[in-house]
Amino acid sequence: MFKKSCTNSSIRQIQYCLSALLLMPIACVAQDDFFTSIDVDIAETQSSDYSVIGWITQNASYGIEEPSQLFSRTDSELNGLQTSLYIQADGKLSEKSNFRISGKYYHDPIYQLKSDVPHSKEERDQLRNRLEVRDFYIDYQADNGFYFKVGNQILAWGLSEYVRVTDQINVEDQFAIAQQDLEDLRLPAPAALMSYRFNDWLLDTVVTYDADRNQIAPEGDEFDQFARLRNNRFALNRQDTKNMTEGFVRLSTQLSSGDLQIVAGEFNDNNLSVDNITAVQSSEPSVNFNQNRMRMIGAAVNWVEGAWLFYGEVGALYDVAVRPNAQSFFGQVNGWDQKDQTLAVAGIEYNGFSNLLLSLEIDSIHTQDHDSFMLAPVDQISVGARFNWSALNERLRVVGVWNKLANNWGRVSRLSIDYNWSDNLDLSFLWVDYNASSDSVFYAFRNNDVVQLQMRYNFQL
Amino acid sequence: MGYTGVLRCRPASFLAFSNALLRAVFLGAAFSTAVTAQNLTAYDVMMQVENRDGGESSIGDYTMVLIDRRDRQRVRNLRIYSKDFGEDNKALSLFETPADIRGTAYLNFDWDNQDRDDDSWLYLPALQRVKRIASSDTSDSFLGSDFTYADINGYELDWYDYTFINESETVDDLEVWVVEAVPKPEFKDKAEDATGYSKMQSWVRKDNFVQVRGQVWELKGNRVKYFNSTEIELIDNIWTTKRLQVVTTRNGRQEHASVLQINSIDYNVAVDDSSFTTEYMQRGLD
Repeated sequence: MFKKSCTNSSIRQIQYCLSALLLMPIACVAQDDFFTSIDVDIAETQSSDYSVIGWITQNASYGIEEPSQLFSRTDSELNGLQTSLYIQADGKLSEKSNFRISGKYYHDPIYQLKSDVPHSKEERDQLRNRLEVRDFYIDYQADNGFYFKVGNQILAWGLSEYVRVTDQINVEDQFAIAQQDLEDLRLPAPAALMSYRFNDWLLDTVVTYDADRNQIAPEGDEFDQFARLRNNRFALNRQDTKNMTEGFVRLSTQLSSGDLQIVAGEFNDNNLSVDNITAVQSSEPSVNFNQNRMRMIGAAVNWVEGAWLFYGEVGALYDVAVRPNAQSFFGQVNGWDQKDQTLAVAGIEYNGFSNLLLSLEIDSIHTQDHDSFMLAPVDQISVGARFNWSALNERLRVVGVWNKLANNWGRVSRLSIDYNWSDNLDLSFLWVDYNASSDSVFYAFRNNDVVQLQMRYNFQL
Repeated sequence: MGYTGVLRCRPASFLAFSNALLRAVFLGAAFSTAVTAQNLTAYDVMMQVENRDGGESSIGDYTMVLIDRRDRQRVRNLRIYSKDFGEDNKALSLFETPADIRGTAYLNFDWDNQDRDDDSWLYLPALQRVKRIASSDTSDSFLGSDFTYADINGYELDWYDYTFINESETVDDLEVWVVEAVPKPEFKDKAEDATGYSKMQSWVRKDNFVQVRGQVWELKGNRVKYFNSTEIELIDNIWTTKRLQVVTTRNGRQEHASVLQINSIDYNVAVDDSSFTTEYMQRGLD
């Protein structure tokens, strides 16, 4: 091709060819340089039966809107300076048995520094210093195909990103909705897992005890889920869970280009519902909350077609405590009515663009024997969309999430930008926007929009 | 030509190496006395490279170093289990460092049937959930490295026309062929979609059919990548490239580089079939 262009009579082309000839030796030298070995410092790694990893995170959070008068903070201002330390230790007890211990400690001096904000005692007690025991388990792989794992653990089942259909074992950290790091979303449950593989199928059975409920923000905090009730001077009580034991079973297999799991369980709702209301006629009625007992059977399936991943989940939930509307709230003094619900999820992911993953999920909840006193309509449809883009050889990652809540109750938008400065240091930016309609249960959180800056130092001993 | 071949874990920021990596990147073809080097066509040479013995199974410890234009280095250590199941292959990759991705696992089933896509799953410790991964744009970066999925998984030999650029050149005092591969017109779209390359050149040692150098031209961004294999050793009678380097250049300037190093590897060792299950991904580093 080069020779052909040089024989062309155009002067400009001749000049170009001469220039190319002159430059060619330089180019060749440069090309050889790119084959030269690059000096790298690869430290010798020694395998060990024990490891300790962890990270220290410093987070600065700024509330960019003014929450309502229901909460301690009412101005647009700095609302968090949280420092956290996560440590995880793994080790082998024998060739067939391992253990893991991990925990996370949080400290947020904002509750001392912001003396102009009337933080509640509950906020100071629960959020200024907090220690969570995370994984705490031992496991054992038997020769006969059985596997056992006992202790505090996370068992994330199902496929949905936005609603819990078959994924019911672990409770959630809901201190700051939609702001949590990924690893903090689920909290471990005290559980005994027994797995058995036969041919291409895996059978998991799980029993939990005192698995508790979703961890929610305390009184005064801007994500206090009972702020409206408290504001009306109702006494709120949590009753002891009646049945502390839960049971789950899952049968799963890998198909050609897809996976299938079938799940059933009897468990306590991870959300609180009203068990009864006392002293309704008094000046201070007492609303007593509990975890409703319910049952579930469901299935989740996914399959791949080229750059597309399709997934679906369907489940029948029995005896779900359904929230009444405001007018009927105090009409149900013996607790919320229980209804059966059918949940369905349809999702799709596409990764055909370079360094970009797009996903869309539609979720529906259908309530059987629906009554007019219920807050939610008979059919609820919500939508979640996400993009995940990386650049600079995955040093930079941008993730955007848009979640339209059911019943036109509002939406949550989330944008995170993470930059991997080095193996030890990550820098992050997060923006979360809340939007809720006046009839929404999330209405009180509509002005909790926030921006955060985070610096995380990872270590491994 | 197979300077590669691997995974697709785009949802997360890491991926793992499949057996294809082991085969395509690190394994040189064992020298075959039945082959007369003098009479080979360019296609024959590449076929010999393709038909190399990688062992029935292997367990290896690897280090990958990612180097940006400011010479900042990021290091990933991982262990890879690989095993042949007849003509199919299964591989499990477990990340050991750095701390924030420790425990990440990638499982890949590479089917011999060309009409069947690989099956792949990713386990992210942060989620504690196994996620199936869609196979797709194989020209994407693998683990933030300069390798693409296609580099690691390899490509279809018959999609390309091969010619000798040079039938006798020396690299490090060893005689090599230099072979150029350009897509056949009928496979041009498919080949370019799969690799993202317009053409490829390989430097293949004549004594053992190991690729010692490679150069590829990307379709987009005016980028050219340079592959370099060194520390080539015979381990368990299998030619093994212990160090593979790739440099990505743009407009003649280095943009990024990656070095993949084998710290240790054992071939034809006993690897339990249960290692290649989704539940084992979660237990792997426990």
